[in-house]
Amino acid sequence: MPIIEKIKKLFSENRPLALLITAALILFLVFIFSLIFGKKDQGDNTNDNYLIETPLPTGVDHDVTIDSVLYKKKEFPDELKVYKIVSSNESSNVEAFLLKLGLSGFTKSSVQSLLYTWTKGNSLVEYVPNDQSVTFVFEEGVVTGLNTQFDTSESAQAFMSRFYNQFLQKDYKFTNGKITKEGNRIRVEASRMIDNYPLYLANHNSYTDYLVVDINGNLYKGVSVLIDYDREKADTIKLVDVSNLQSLLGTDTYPKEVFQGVSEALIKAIGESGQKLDAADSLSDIPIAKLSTAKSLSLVYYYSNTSFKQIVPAYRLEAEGKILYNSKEITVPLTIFTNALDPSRVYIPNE
Amino acid sequence: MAGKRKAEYEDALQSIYDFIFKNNKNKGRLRPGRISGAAASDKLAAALAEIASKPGFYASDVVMNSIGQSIGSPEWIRLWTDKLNVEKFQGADDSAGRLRVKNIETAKLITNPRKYVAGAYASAKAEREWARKVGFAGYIDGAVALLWAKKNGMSWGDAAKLSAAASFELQPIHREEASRMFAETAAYETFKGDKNKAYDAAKDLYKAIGSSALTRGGKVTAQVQTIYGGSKQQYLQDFLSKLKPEEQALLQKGQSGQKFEDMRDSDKYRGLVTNLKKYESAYDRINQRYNELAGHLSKVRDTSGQRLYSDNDIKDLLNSYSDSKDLSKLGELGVSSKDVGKYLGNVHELNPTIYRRLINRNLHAKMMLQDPDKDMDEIKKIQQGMSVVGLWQRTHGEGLDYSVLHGQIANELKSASLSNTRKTQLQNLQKQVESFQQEHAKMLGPSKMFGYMGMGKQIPNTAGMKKSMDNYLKAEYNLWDFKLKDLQTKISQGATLTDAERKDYSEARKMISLLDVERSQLKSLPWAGNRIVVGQLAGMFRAYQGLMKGELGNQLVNGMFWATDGGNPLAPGEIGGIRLALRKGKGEYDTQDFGGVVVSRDNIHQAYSRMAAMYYLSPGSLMKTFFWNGEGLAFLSSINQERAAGMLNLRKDKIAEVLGLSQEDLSKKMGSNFLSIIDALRKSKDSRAKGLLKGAGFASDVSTFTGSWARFYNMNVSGVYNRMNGRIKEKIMGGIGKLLAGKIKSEIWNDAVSKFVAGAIGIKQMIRAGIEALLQAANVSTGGTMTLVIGFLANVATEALYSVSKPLMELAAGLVSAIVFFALILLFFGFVFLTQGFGIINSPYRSIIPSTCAACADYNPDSGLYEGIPSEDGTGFPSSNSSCPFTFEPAICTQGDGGNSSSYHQSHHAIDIGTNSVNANKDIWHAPADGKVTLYRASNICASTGKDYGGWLEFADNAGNVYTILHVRALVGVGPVKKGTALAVTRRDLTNDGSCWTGPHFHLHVSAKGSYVNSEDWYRNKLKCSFSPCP
Repeated sequence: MPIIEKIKKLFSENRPLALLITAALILFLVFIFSLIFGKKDQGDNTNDNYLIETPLPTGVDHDVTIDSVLYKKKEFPDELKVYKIVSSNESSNVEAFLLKLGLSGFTKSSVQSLLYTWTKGNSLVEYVPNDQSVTFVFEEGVVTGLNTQFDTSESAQAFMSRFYNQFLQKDYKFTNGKITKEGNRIRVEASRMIDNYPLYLANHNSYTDYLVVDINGNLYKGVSVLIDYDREKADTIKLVDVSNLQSLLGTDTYPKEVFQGVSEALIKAIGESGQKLDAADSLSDIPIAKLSTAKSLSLVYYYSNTSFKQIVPAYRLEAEGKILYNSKEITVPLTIFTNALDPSRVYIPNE
Repeated sequence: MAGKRKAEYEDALQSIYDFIFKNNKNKGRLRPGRISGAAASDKLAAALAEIASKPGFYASDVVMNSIGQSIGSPEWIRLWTDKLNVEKFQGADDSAGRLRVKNIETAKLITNPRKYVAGAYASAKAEREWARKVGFAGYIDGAVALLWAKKNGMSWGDAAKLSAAASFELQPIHREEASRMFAETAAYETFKGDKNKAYDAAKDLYKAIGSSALTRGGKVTAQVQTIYGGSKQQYLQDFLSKLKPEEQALLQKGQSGQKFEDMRDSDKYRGLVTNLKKYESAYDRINQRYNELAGHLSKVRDTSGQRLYSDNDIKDLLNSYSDSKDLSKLGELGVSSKDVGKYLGNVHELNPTIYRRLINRNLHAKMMLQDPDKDMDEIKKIQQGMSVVGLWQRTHGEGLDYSVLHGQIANELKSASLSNTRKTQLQNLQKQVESFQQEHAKMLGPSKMFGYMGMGKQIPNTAGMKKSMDNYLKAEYNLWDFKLKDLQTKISQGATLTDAERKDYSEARKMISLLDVERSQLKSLPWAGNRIVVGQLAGMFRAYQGLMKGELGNQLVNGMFWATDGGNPLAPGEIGGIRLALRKGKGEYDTQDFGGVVVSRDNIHQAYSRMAAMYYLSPGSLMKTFFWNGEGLAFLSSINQERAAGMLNLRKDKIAEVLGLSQEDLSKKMGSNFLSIIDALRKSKDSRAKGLLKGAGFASDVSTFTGSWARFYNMNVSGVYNRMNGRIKEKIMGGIGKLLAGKIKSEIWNDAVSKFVAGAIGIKQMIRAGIEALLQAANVSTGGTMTLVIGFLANVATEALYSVSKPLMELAAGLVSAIVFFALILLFFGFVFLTQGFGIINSPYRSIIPSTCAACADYNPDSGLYEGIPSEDGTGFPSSNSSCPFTFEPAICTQGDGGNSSSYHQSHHAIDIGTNSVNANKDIWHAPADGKVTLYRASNICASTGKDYGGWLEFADNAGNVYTILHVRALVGVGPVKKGTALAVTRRDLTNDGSCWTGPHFHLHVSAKGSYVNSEDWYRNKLKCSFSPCP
């Protein structure tokens, strides 16, 4: 090793040079480490100019006619808060939830920390951190001790609130309560409320939570969204003026999601074509309406999943559109969610 | 089987053997002897290997008859004992097959048991196929479920319910097998003389049939004769010929316009006309199907472009196929046809009974192709399992059924045409049989050899069994020999034999030949070897048989737990929850509600899958695992526990007195778990307690089983963890802490430690310092003369301690190394537990399984069921799944492209993969390649109101292929993901709307380059997924 020997010799003979090179090397390493491990400047949330990523897709070709009657008599705020989602793993809360329900002996397992399951016999609880959803199926039914003899949407909403308060220590308020019978059981669906606005999920039937109970207060199954948001650091953002919404929606790049449903006329047409009306069978072949007329307009909060860091205000439109199915023009119902935030504050990927 | 694995098995089995017999070490008289040159445990190992790998073969005649009686078809059972043994093993006819095989196998077992065991394991995979083919897998599954249940302290009632739930139920895979078997049978029947052609034809016919057309919905076929080559008139004539004369008359009367005076006749007539119309309308469809199949087959060509099948070949093949599906023709093999195919239009559900008949028929067909000279290995596969059992059955008592001989003699004596000579012969033979019987009865005296093993009733003394068996064979031989000689005399006198006599003549020759070989075989067995081998096997098989026939078999097969629905056996409806008493600590028991374990029929597979999750359930692997884990033995102990419980019951009054319990409390404890009483008695200082634990046979039973056994099977890894944690914290660390706390005060010691660490002093000085420190701690004065004395004593003690401590320290070093090694192993398994998330049921046993599962690694219930038809055509089950997004088993395709009216599946070439029987945390769809989740729509409903499908996820791989997965919850958000990332889990909470979602499953379709591709093909061949063929 002549080179190493030479270096050794050089360093032993010239101490200052050795110190200098060592110091340079240390500085270089510190620099590299700071590059690798140094915290990036995330920006300051108090900066009024930061952009908010929208969970709503862009590039959707759909025009909506919005009659001013739909919003003239309503009061829409000029601005609304955008809430930052608190990404916490709720699995310990789910365990506490089971204990509160008086359940034990469940076996916990997880898959890549993306899915947590608790099983016992055929009873199952699943928690998905991605969308903070908890799905539970209790085969035998679990005694909640709550009064489930309700018949109005208000009483159903109150029941949901009580349920969350008692078993998950969450102070949730609900709206849009709906009660349906499932055999001897009752299915209660409702949407969470945020600042008196309903929270909607990214789908056609977008209530956030449902529970299936019986009249004796036994709980059989349900899905809950345990998202939580930071109430303190929310920023108030200016909203789009509703009167401008129609023209904004006409732009492809304007964020919007269109969910198309099924009408009686469509059911009839599908039947006539020899197809079966089957959600998983034929709907995918049905064209999506590109034009529609709004029938209602409301301001809501919209949540997709924890990939998007905010719960954002959105306009929700119930509309009617027309499609051509087997050469027939057919009216179909649509649910449209569209951006409500000032477009200058919205970050649109790939824009 | 790799040598290492084999060695592991052997070690495990050796330990089982030792465990069984360890309590007998000091009782040489009772300890079974050893055959020279081979450990007796090898025999046990061989036998266990046999049971484990081919459990279906080990159902005894008693069990078979029991099953036969319960299904009302004893003939079917005879199919096994007679047809399988004789017809299928063609060599038996010329005395060169079956018995020769048996002889060879037995000789192998005895002369080189180690090799025999190795052979048994090496062919384990193939043998599992056979275990399934013989059709008793379900019953065996039930039996092992019972093992599990009993081990967990369930009552017999609950255990039997669980067994019923775990038992055989047809799955799509069986239906798929059925269609293969029809094709195979038809091909073998058609091309008997050409084995290769028969195999090819089986494959081609199967392809022509299509995997699902035949068996959709569990039906063998909608009609008995799905294809028919004859004319419509012939076809209708066929229907008419099946009618009873009175029905024909009724039909004729109605068709001629005459009125019926009796309304019942009118109703019957209408029924007949309905059937006739069905027949008429079916003809065109049937004929069309026939032509379709013929068309497919006519297109099959060899490499030179020549047609492989002539028109006549096709006609024969299809007619044979039609025959093979006509299950009523199973009557030819001794099957009662009364319930099968009375009229056309009957729907044949592919229930287990029909399925097993089909299996038998298929086996028969396969055997027709075997050449006894060349294909002995094939024959051996079946024979291997039967040989040992056959020997045992012959020798252990039940096989020596003298009443059969008595009956045969008595029947013949009744004959009016009996010659005087023959009559005398028979009377002499009768006396001989009686004398043999008496001799045999003497040998049936109880032997204690296996009594302590708790293997049911005590087995006969095996010492005289060889002679007894020889006697029996001799009597049987004489019976036939006399008959043959009698007939030969007739022939020599020029008499013409009647048909019955000719049949007797032929039968007598065959039987004499068989018995001759059997007697030679018996003689060839070493005396001691025979006694011991038979004895060991007897004990073991008796335990198994007892399990089957006594406790489980009867309940399973007598219909007690089975309802019927159109011929389909159903498991019980709602069954109550099961409460298990699990040992928590000494004398403490924790009851856990396992209410979900046994459920309604719809969820049977879930219940079963939970067991499978624990044991990777298959008959073979589970049995191996049971014995590997010692749980099979635990079951045996449970039998003894019951005996112990019975004995406790007899002493109930005194026990209550000793323990100071009321009768009521004692009864409650006995009902819940009597082990607590045993514990209490053991702990009791009352002198009467020991007396209560003693008594005839009781002490050994209780001490052997309820003590060590209970502890044994309550040992578990999690328990070990807990205990170790406790010990480490409290004892080891606590001890070290105390030691340090005490010594730290000693300056002498501290100084010595410092010096020792610095290398300034050696071990001697350390010891010396220790002694001084101790003396100081004990406040022993070190001044004056005491100093000299103490110094002297300390020197002596130091020298002594040094001489002792050196090896001790070496030993300690070894121990520390071992502890570190052990801790590393524990850490490793702990890591495996944590990462795998193993454990479905919160049972103390769950932790045992992963590290010691004996036969779970390569178990694939779908693989290699038919060695006759390779699966490279893509319709079988590819074994590799390198990029498959789902890795659970069983993966059952419940719907495929073009399989039915579902337009969506057709237009998108989609498939459904069912997950109802998959564990909740296993029904995951992983990214098959690097790519991106492009869409996810969450939804809590799957109905015709919007395109949400109860959750919709789209994944695009980097090559641009787009995977759509419906009815799922996404586990990740939209964005890039790496291959193998868990992306979606099936929904289990959706409401069954009868169309969109009927139960947990993945709906999968794929588009490549913007067009939908055949998803079944894609998942099976591109991603190499294993799943059952799609219906």
